[in-house]
Amino acid sequence: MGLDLMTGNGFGPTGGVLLWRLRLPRMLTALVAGASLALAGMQMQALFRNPLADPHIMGVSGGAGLGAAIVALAIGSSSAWFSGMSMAMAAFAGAFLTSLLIVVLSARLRATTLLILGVMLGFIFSAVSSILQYSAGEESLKLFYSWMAGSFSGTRPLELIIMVTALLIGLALALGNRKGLDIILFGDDYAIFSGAPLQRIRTLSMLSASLMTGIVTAFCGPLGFVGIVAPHLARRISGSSAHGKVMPVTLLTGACLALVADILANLWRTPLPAGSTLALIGIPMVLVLILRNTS
Amino acid sequence: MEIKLQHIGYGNKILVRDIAFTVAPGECLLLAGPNGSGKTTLLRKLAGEICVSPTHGHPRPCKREEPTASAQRVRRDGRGREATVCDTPVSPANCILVPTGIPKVKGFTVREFVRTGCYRESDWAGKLRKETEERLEESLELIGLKPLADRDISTLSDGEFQKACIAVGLTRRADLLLLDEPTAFLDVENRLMVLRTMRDVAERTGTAVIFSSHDLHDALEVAHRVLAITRDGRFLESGIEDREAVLSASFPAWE
Repeated sequence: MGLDLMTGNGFGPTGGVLLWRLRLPRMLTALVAGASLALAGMQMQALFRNPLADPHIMGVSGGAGLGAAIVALAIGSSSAWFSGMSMAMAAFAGAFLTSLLIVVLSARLRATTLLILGVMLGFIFSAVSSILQYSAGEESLKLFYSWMAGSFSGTRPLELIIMVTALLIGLALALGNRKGLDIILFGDDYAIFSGAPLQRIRTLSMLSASLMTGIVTAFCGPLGFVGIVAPHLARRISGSSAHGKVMPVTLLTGACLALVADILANLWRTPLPAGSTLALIGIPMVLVLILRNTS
Repeated sequence: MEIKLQHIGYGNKILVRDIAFTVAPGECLLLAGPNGSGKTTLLRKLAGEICVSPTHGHPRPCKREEPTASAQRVRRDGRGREATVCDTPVSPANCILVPTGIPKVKGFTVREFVRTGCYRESDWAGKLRKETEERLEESLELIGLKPLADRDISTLSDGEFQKACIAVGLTRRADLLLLDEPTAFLDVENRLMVLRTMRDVAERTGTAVIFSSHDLHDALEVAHRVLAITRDGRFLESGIEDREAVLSASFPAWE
């Protein structure tokens, strides 16, 4: 009976379809997306030595949003699949180009200046996206807003495979860079005088973070707060800031947070956007963290 | 160890000229001079990292220099500004600089912090080689931090944390340990603790130590000799007996 329920046989043919075609892909997407965004946030927090740094703050998601907005406006009423795929690709291109710009500038700027630059870039992208939306047609806007709301639903097997691949590459880069992530927490000067290749550490962590963020944002829309909250919870759970200990916990915490957000989003008759439930869970947690740090 | 530098400075501005001094194993030297006289720049030069932006004092990684014949070269930093590097043979020994203001990041034990500082001595996963790991334990023992090895560094006093920074240099087997204002922001008790530890470590391990400080009275208590930079960019080296005379030349108000 238990096995039947797990495989979907206990629900009858409709239940099986629901489980295998809808719920399992959605659950896997949530797990992979949550883990990816958490890992990206962890690296950005180390890189910028800022507890509130994450791909959203750095303008990477803003770049993805701009890419999606450009395509949504240009494509208009072509087929939904084509529109969805091209918007995802444009979102990834936007995220990747933003990250590339930040990586190039990171050779010349200090971490704090880079963070301010990322925030400003995010504002600019957001402003341009708004201008594009202002003149867009109804169909284009519908497509764009459904992407902007964020969702783990409707992911195709190929998209899931791409997301898993991005997570594995991002994880490999982060694992190879973990002692670099540790040392940059103590400041650029200390890293340099300890013989650490600062630029390589920055480039690797930005590459890893932007690859995962770009892919996840492309297929699931801009999902905030996992990247900020999960690394904090992971540091608290593991009782350490050493990335060798924090990284596995961050992956698990991010995956769990996204899954909980997805479950909450689907408790209602009309499913809520996952981006909104993530924000509802994430914002109180961020506030608690800020208040704790202040006190 | 004999160190000679024609001068150090940025662009056309020369900060210090005719730098020449010797430092013996186990010796503890005070580097004194007014603010902005070039103490930090000199220490960075000795550590082989001179790519310093003149405006921001921001160090940039650059390749370690092989000792060269007397030569003057002009490098450009990241913003295209010139940093003048003029050197005659600089010691090829293992010089390690511990900069000021390293943050006490929560979530690292003392042992992990020292391990993190040994970047070049660890594998990709941050694991130290067996002999380096043994040296780490010896360094903690020597510096008196062994009982605190598993304590979070954020719970250490500033003085204890400064000792942990010295332990990084010892673990990395520095021949010449350079400390940039190790007693800045410390109270009297911690200041003396750090200074005495420095001298003790130098004498017991044979590591030469050069430290900069503005706490001249306390620093003289432990410094074997004094290196001083005057306001007009002259470099002075004292013997054992004339330490105060050299300081007077650097600080006319010194008595």
